[in-house]
Amino acid sequence: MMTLISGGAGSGKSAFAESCVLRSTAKNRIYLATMEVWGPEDRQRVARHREMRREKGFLTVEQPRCLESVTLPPDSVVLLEDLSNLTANECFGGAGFDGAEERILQGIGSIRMQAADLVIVTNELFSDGISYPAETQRYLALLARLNQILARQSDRVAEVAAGIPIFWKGAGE
Amino acid sequence: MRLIIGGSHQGKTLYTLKKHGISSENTADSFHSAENKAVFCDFQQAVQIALSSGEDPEQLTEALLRVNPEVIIICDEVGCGVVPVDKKERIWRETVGRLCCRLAERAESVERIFCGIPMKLK
Repeated sequence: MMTLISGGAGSGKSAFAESCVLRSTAKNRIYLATMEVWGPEDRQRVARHREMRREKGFLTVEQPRCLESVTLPPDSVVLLEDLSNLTANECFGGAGFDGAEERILQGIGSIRMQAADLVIVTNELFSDGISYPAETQRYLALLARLNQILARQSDRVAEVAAGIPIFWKGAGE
Repeated sequence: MRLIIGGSHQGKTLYTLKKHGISSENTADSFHSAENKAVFCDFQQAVQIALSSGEDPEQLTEALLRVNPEVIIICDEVGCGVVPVDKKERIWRETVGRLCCRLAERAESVERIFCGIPMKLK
């Protein structure tokens, strides 16, 4: 089962994503963190989140790009958080924009092949009416395209608003 | 008239053309060219152009609907960011939102597209 979860900042999409993972019957809960850690503040935050998730039985794997190099234990449910970070890392910090779409889809495809269940958190960044510089527009267009492609592949697509999931595809339990 | 809304890059145009079997040549992106086309894309941009050239987008919309009452209007939702510092941007954002409300009231159908997926609002 693949679930795509989107929403604005602070919409409660992470908490909803976690609840999807907790409902999965797969044995191993993997938190696939894509955030690139830069300074002591980031490290502190990551350590706190890691601890919170450990209590819920998650194993945290940090992988800011190249998801295809991740090997998962059998019978895993994966929470990939998040696609907007991963896309930014691939475009701005990795091999660049050229081929980024293919690389990202390949990486996610590899995770999907290995995992029993996959929950992907993405972002709703497309309704602010702001004209950004060309490179940012290119990033936004790519993220939106990835959202559409992954939505097609997903069994469920949910937008979270005020902590409440709105199902655009598939039904909630 | 039908209204299709959603964030930018959500697949609104592709969805509309596919659903109604319309070719991409039968689309327009200005008030004038939309008079004899099935689909009016990027309505929010046409509103911006109208405002910057001192025209009233509401009147232009009314005039368009008189000659092309069956047009499908596609518009980006642009109101979910921080209030712009620039006054013109503020007015534009507000105008697009208000026009969408009025169009939605009169539309035969209103759909919102998210990640390429439609949701019928009306």
